[in-house]
Amino acid sequence: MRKYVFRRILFFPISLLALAIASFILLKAIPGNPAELKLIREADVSRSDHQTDQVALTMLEEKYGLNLPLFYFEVVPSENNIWIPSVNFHVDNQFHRWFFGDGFNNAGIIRGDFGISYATAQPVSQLISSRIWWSVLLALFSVLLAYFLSIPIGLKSAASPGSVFDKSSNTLLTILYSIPSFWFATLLLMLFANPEFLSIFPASGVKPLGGMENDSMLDRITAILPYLVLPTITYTYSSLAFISRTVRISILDILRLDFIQTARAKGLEEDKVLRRHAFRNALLPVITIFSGVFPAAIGGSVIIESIFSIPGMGLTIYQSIDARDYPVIMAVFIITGLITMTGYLISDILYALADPRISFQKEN
Amino acid sequence: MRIFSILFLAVTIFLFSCGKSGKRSETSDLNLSSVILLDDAEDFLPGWSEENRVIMHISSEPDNLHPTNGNSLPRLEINNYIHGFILRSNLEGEGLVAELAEKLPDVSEDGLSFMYKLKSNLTWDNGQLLSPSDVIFTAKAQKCLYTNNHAGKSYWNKIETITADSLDPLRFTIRMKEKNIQNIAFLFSFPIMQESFHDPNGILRAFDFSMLDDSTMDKGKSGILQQWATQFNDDKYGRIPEHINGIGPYKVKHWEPGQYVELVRKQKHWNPELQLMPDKIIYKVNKDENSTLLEFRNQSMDASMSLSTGTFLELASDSSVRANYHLILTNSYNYTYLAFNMRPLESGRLPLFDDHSVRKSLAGIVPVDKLIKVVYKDYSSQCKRMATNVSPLKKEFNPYVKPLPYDPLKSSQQMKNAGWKDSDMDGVLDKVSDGKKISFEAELIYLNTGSDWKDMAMLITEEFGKHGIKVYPIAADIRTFVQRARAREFDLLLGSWGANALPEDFTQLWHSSSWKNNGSNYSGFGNDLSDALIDSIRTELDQEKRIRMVHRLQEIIIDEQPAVFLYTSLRRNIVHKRFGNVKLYADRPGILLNDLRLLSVSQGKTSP
Repeated sequence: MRKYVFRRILFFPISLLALAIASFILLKAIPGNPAELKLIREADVSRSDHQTDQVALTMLEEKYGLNLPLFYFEVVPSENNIWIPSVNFHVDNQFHRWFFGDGFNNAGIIRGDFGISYATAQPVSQLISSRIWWSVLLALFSVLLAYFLSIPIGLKSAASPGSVFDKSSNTLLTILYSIPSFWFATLLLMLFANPEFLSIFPASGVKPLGGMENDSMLDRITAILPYLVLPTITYTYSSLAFISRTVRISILDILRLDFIQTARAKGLEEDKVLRRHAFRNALLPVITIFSGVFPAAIGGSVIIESIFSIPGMGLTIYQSIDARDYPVIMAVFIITGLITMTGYLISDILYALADPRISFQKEN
Repeated sequence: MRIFSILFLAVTIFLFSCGKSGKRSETSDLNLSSVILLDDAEDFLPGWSEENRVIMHISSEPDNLHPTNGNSLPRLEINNYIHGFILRSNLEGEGLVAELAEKLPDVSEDGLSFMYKLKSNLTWDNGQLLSPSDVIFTAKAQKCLYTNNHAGKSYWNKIETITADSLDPLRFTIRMKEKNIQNIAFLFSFPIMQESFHDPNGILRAFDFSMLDDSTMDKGKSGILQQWATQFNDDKYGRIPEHINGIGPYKVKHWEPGQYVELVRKQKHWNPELQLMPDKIIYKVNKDENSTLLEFRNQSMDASMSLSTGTFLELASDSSVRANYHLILTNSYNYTYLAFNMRPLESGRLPLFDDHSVRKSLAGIVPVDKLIKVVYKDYSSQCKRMATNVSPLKKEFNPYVKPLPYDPLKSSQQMKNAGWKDSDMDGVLDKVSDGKKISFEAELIYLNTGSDWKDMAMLITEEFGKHGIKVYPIAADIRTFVQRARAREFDLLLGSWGANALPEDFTQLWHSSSWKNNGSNYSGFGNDLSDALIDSIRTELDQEKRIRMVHRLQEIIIDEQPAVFLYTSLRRNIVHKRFGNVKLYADRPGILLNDLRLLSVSQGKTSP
């Protein structure tokens, strides 16, 4: 097991490098010159007498390295073997600068420096760390809530397939699954943040105005919780159907197996058969879903974060793409890639823990 | 089943509430004044908050609050309250008014030197007096090659030098490199910074103005300058409240990223009206239209100048909202236009709009009234039709130039005269040009930032289609839109320009050089006469002469019809009635929040 984990971790940098190169090329293909956009003050984008200074544009392009080629290498015939050419890499290119730094303001991604945001002039790591917690918090809350509700529903449905509960829960959850999140979020707002109906939750934001520096932890939690209710419900509702149906199908598959029949034949109560024998064996697909939770948290949800004014990663990524803020977008790609790989590694480990039959040792 | 019933009920209520119609609010008739003063509420209603803080809605967060390095609109607005400016735009009238200066400058005979005198009692937060050295430092910092104010440098590079008066410690003279009508006006949007705060060691004092934009400076000196600029550019001066320093009446208390920026009124300040101003101004970010609507229904926001038209109309139709808020549309200097690509061959496009008779005939089939109706619906009568490229609010507007009337029959005939006929009966006009048959098929680019743009683009597509012109509407985000416009990758372009009350330099929009250097002359308008006129307007300091020239330029532009000028944009304003002294301006930012006065409960009048 340790060997397997170690081997997987060794592949991380190679995968990340491939991801970085691919995303770097894709990113640069988006139309729009960030230096030119930076030069136009937002107030002036539509102002009839604004001036764009060519000198300033050139300077800014040089500063961002946008005047350099994306990659710079040459393939030349090898002196020793004419059939295998050699590749000479040069440092004056955008990728090298992003990867290894510019020797002045930026130490490069290889040293953990994501650079400075073009749009806000903040260090990217600072920008992301100020935004990621809301996305992670909401993702965690919604996953816990989704599992808390879905697993019992899936279990109960599997215990009596075709029953009224099974059919009605299936129908309701399928309807919920079909509702677009922007519509559902707006519906919740109109129902529960509207003085014309019920005004029990705030309509936007994640905390009250005025700062909470002097409040105790309990006061802060109490103040913040009402802001998180509607977004959490919106994050959660669509995954209820998916998880509960997955649990139901897995358990039904397990219930058909011989060892369950044996357990029943021994006279074990149906409830114990379900919980002790079937459920644990039905966990694998549920674990697979869990591995995707954290990358999703990094990505956030643009729509939900926009509607509820949550300063999370989804909105940050959207704004970064809109502003062609390359350092932020690249940082998000890399972090998401790393977390996705870690998520899958953890789920592999959890597989082995959940099902002792799974082994990552090579068979002789 | 119970769950279903609840869900059904909820959906029904939601749909019912969405479709509800009510009486529209009464909004004042718009005239062409630059300011409207609203009547204060007679009674302070029991449900109104007595907190003396204004919560202002903004739809996007400022990029930062650095005094020089930033380019977002919210940053400019917020910096208005944190910083001081030598001059400000006169929102209630025309031109400029002095703020930190005693009065507008004395101009030398050659029109290049501007002598200012600072007011005598102005102090920074640490008690230090504002002096010309702060102004000189500000100009040097703006001009320095290594500071990150790339958007503003072009204005400051026009300064030759600034000298402090050796006899009067408050007097200084700005010497410009060349004559320009904006040599005074450019100062109004740049705040003055405290030298001892940003440059305590006086590094910039060792550099005179000519050295600051010299890229050939020796390494030793440029190294010192770069070192200072790295400090100056630090993000903390635009984000961390303790490091944001200005001479304005408010300071930043708290910035919750993505949520709000809180400004608090200073305890001591040189402004005599300080005590009357709101205690706090909070800029709250909300980009979603529905939750913004609910925020106003819940009275958790006090004001907005940036509501979407749909949200404004929805709020205006709600009697409970009308009881709590002033809802009013006001004129602005901004206008919407439909531009033609006049130089298609130079930009690799089909020759559709190079003939000015075609452009004129198409101007006659643009349904301007319908477009205004699409955007402003029941309030369309308050919207002014644009006749030329100058807002009717400005004194430079030429009242004798009239827009071409909507006349489809005449337009069809003009198109035939120009050689465009549907010879193959496929419903699209065609013409043989240089031996090749070309169909009248045009790409129309427009912004994807709101449904209004899309509705207008669809209406134009439909209307042009009726006359045999096939239009392909293409929505673009603002970055792509600007890039395509500058690369001239369009046949038709639906956009808007902003302006203010100050004298306008028409070079960027209408000079032919601005076509050649990929500037904002998207249409490609310009000839020797118009270029000469624009050059003269730019340097003419005699107002009457300048206005006559601007009138002439408008005549030439309308004759050439590089664009159809559609309508002046209306600003959608909402302000809570618990505040009095509400003045709404045509010019940006539309309202000055520090002018608002909380109405007292007992008196129902402006509190002392």
